[in-house]
Order: sequence, then structure tokens, then C-alpha cells
Amino acid sequence: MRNVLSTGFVLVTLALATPAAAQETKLQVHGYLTQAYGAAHGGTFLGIPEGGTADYRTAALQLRYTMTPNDQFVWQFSHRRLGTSPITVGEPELKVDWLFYSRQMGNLDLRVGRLPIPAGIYNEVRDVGVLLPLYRAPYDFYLEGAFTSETVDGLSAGYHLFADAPWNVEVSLFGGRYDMTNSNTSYDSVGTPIAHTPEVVNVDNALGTQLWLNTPVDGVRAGFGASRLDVQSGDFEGKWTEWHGSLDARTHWATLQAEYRRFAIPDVNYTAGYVYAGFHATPQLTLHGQMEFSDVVLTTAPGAPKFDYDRTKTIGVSYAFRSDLVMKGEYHATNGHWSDAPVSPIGYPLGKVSYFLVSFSTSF
Amino acid sequence: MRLAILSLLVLVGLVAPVAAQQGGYTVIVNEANSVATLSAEEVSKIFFKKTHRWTNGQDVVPVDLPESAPAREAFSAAVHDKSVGAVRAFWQQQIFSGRAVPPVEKPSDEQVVAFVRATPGAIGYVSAGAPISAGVRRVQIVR
Repeated sequence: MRNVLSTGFVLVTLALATPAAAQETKLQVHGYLTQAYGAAHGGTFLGIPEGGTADYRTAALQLRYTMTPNDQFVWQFSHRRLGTSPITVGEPELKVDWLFYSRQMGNLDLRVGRLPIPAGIYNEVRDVGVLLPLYRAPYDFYLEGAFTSETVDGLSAGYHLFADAPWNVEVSLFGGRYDMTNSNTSYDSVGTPIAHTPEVVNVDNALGTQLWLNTPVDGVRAGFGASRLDVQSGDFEGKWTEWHGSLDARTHWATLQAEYRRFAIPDVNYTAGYVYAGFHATPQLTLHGQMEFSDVVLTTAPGAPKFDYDRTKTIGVSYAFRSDLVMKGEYHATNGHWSDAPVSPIGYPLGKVSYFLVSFSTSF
Repeated sequence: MRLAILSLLVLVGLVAPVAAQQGGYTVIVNEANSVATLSAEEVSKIFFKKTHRWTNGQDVVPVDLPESAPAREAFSAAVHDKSVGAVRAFWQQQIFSGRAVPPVEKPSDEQVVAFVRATPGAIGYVSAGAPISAGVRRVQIVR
């Protein structure tokens, strides 16, 4: 049944995947699909096993009903497969991704409902393959499935300050609650780590902000964001705070991006960042390079020891037949504690898993 | 002499495409709209939906030609300083972050003119030399 639904969803998305043409009707339909094949070496990473998997995709359909030019209702449902990853076990084939009402009042944009969280360069579009340089947004920074949420049930407000000035600022605020899947390590009777176990927790009182400073140089901006939240249950229960900074420069010839973030959660400080460089050899062909890191400090342990949690190097190439039809190939070499197998929590040897992904992405 | 010829060729190379692009389209508004001139930057903000209202408070309603239209290519290059593909990528970002959708598209110059004529806040562009009938006015684009 799962495969039938998945295939049906993919086929519907593909059938609708014609070049975007703005519609005048009140109801607009948009969507995206990324289908990948991946194989790993040295273990399993994010559901990509050594034997390879094509059960790896993201897709969404977005319905937008325009009541007036300033009042819109947006409904997006999505589908995700992550190979053998335990994160998606029990995840519905289709889930309501967004469901919000939006009202535009000049430079002020208000939204209420289930809405995307503005955070960093990619959080709002982290599954949209045609907008991502690689298959996914940098994992150490954005994570996926665990310790993160793409959406919040609540409200948000966005305002464009000094909109007509060369230097201008886009400010977003959000608040609400969401469910978050965390990941715990399971051990056998003699204390050997054997698996990662997902744990769905309730997050309340989430509050956050994202600011973008747009510069007079088209495509160059700097961002800052912060948030706080109350995790109500599970091994990581308590108050979390987070802040992050971003640099984003996109020119005809190159794209340079760097982001850094710091989580303070009970007993743990988690810091992560990445540097990405893309060289646009032609308008269609881009060469990619990326370096990611994450570190963990056990704040309540004696001496507050610090651990190198992950170091990942990535190279890739993409070819955009059109801006809405892109093929990518990428190779990632990881060295850390994120691998599904070997299960290597802090204190155990680092998992050295490399993997490649070949994917195509389309949107309409 | 060789340097002068080289300089001339470079100059021609730099200037000619711009001139050709500017000659490839004409911006029009509804005749009830009093605006006579707009800067390329102002027009760009309108078509990226960063400007929402005219000075009289009326909602701005931009209308595009299809991506395959030569006038759209010229318009995108001259007004946005971007390729049609780059403009499409901008709208993908807007759509899939839930923010906005691109302007309405009309398949021909005639239908753009008809839309602008029928919509008081509308602004569009058509191929240079396309017939501009009653009910719409040309707007001069200044830099």
C-alpha cells in the first residue's frame, strides 16, 4: 500500500510538473519532487545503506487560494522517504506540511496556522530540490527529522524595513508549538549501543526571530536569528535556546554561503556550521564544495568536555536543464556520530561513512 | 590605432545588447493611471511584488508575457538585470517558502493590452512595436 501511494503521488507530481506559468485563477497549484538514488560505504547514513536505495525522495503539493490580492490561504502536503532511516518509521505517506492564512498589509505579512519557520537560508525550502545546491540543506546545521522542526503551529509576522533603501532589513517573528522528533540511542544488556530510537516530543512556547540585512549588492545578504522553546518530555526535556548567523552571496559566477548556530539544551551545548562554495561554470552547470562541522559540549559533566561531533566534506556537480529541472550528483565523506550504522554515540569511535547521491528535482 | 579599434569593439559590445534589449519591449499601464515615467528599479520592484500600491493607494497588478516571449527576455534583462531563468528561480523561492506567487501571465501582446485596459491598477509590457490601443498608455522607463 505504501509503495502504491508513493508511486501515485510521484506520478501525479510528475504529471503536473510542467513549467510554471502564473495562473489568474483564485486557486493555484504548485509542487516539487526530488527523487534520488544513494549508496554508502562503511555503514549507513541517514537511511542510505551500503547496498543502495532508491527509496529516497521528497515531494509536496501546494494549493494556494487567493481570496483577495492581500488575503491568501495556503495548504501544502508533503511526502518524504529516507531509505532505511528509523526517523521516518511511522511517518504518514502524506502529511499536512502547511495550512495557514496569510494577510498582506503593505510591507507587513501576517500568517496564522501551521506555517514554515523562517530560520537561516534554507529552513523554509529545505525539501525543495530545485532550490538547494545539494540533495539536502547542510545536515550539521539544519539537521533532518531529529532535533528540528520545519513548521510551527501558531503565527508569524514579517516586515520589510526601509524597503526602498539600498540597505534594508527583513524581520520575521514567529511563535507557537510543534511536535519534534528527537533521537535517542538504545543499548543492549551489556551496554553496547545498538540503534537510534526516534522519540516524538511536544514543544511549547516556541518563540523566534529571523533578520536579513540586504545589502546594495544584489544577491548579498547577512542574517541573524534566535529562538527559544520548551521541550515538554523525553530525554532532552527542558528549555532550549538557539541562535544562528548567516552569510549568503550569490552572483552570476559563484555562490558563497556560511552559517553558524549554537544550541543550548539541558546538559548539552551543540554548535554547528558550514561553508559552501558553488562555481557556476555555465548557467546550467555548477560545481559544489562544502565543509560542515558540529561539536558537542557536555555542560554538566565534570570538566565540561568538548567532542568533535561531526566533520563532513562534500563535493558535487549539478546540471540545470531549466531552473525547474535539475540533476545532481554528490559525494559526502562523514566522520562523526551521526551515522545510523555504526551506532556511535559520544565516547565511542567516530563513524566514518561515505555516501553518494544521484538525484533529479523538478517543480512547477 | 589597434587600441582604438579594440576599445570601440568593446564599447559596441557593451552598449549594443543593452540598446537592443531596451528596444525589445514597451511598458504600459491603464490609462486611468497618471504615472508617466518609472525607473527600471521601480518597475523591477513592482514585478517582483515588492511594491504593492501606486501612489494613489490603488493595488498594483503586474502582468507578464510567457517565458518564451522575446519581449520578456528583453524586459528581464533590462529591468531586472537577470535572465528569465533567474527570475523564475526567484519565484520558486517565493512560492515554496509560502510567501508569494508570480504575476499573472498572458500569452500574447494583445491579451496583455486587454488585461491592462480592463484592470485599473495593472502594469504590463508588450513587444516593441505592438499596437497599443485605447485604454492603455505607454510609460517611459528612465535609468
